[in-house]
Amino acid sequence: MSRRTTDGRRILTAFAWLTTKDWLLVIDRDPTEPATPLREARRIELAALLIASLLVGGAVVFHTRQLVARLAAEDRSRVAAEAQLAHSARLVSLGRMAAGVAHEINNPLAAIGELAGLMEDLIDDQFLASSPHARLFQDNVRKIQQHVDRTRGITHRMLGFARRMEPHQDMVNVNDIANEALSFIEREASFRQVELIRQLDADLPMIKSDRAQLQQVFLNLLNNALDAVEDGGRIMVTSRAVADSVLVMVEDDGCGIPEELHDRIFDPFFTTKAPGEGSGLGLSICHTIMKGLGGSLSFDSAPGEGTVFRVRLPRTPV
Amino acid sequence: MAIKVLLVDDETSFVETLKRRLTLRRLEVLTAASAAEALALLSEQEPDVVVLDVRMPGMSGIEATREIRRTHPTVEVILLTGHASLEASMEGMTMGAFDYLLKPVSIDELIFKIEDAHRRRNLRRAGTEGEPGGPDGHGGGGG
Repeated sequence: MSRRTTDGRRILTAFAWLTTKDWLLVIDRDPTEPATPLREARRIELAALLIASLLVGGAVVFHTRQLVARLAAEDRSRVAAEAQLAHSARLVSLGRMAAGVAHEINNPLAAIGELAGLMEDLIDDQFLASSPHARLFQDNVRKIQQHVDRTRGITHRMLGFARRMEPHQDMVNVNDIANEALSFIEREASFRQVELIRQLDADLPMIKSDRAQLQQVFLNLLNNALDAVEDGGRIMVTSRAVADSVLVMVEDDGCGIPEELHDRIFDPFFTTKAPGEGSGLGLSICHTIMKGLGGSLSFDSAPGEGTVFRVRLPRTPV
Repeated sequence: MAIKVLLVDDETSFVETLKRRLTLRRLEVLTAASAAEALALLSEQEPDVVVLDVRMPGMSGIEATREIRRTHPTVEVILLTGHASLEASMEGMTMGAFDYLLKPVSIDELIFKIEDAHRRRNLRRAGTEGEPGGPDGHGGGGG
């Protein structure tokens, strides 16, 4: 309760009966007098609360950041995986389409070939003497057959391509695949006077691997090398057998890869090429392919001096 | 004696032309436009070698191969395919086809293959006379 003293000050008074003695405890308190210890306690409490909430908040922010980063990374790798899947699915369906087209062409082609063949069979001396055009007939019938042969070469290559698009493990000669890949860039290299040097170990052992996928990797590395070198530059392809693997190196004397980009080279969608020129998937796919084949893909690069990509393939099948 | 060949393909202009060309090369040639027709013809006059297209409407060349091997175990089958379906051709080989060729095939190559198949048929017949009931053990195929 509140009461006033004789000199007019307001005082708070509390009573309490003591249970053990017949005494009444009376406490007077001046409300204006500072409640220092109480305030102190409240201040400490506030400070503690503040620090705790800061700590909790910090932890929440930290973990959320990490979570978001991880989600983003997962999302990126998922998108990359999907892109790669779509890419290989596209290749397979392209292969199937090529096979279908080749088939559709082969049947009428076979008929054309036989018809022309029969015409040639039937041309005899009597026929040749019968008309001034007979020789021309004979020549043309032969030419038709030559063109049938040529077209057959094309459709059979298409069938071969279709078969190669399906995932397939075979005994392969890595040198052959490297040479095949080199043949694809020879033209552009000669236009730009880029020197292609082959240092292929003739005693390279055959290994069990996927020819089409390896070709894709080599072609990618060679194309990158070609993009990196100046006109008149140099690209060297080396193959070598080491203890338990076969090593293929694609080396160029081009612009090199800046140090700060080394970590991101194999990231999906990372590209230094102009928009629309590179998907940023090439090396990422190569990296995944090499892992899938039980090998690895690595590189060394000195800016301004060049880059070497190393493809390592296991000798023992995976 | 001339080798007797049965050509089976749904492409009539192909079959007819090939027949004339093979006839010019002293082979005796029968033709059929479908597997069913071929099987009917087979029971009337047995050829030495059947040249079968893999892909035909109705019964496929693969099924026909199986049927021919069952009913006429000494008749050799050569498959002709225009398709990349290596699997189908391989299946045909396990069915007991002598070999398969990719269309368009050169006439010389086809004739060599027919001659090889004919040679194996003679071996088979010599074998089965002593031991009736089994073309087995001759599985697989040449080239």
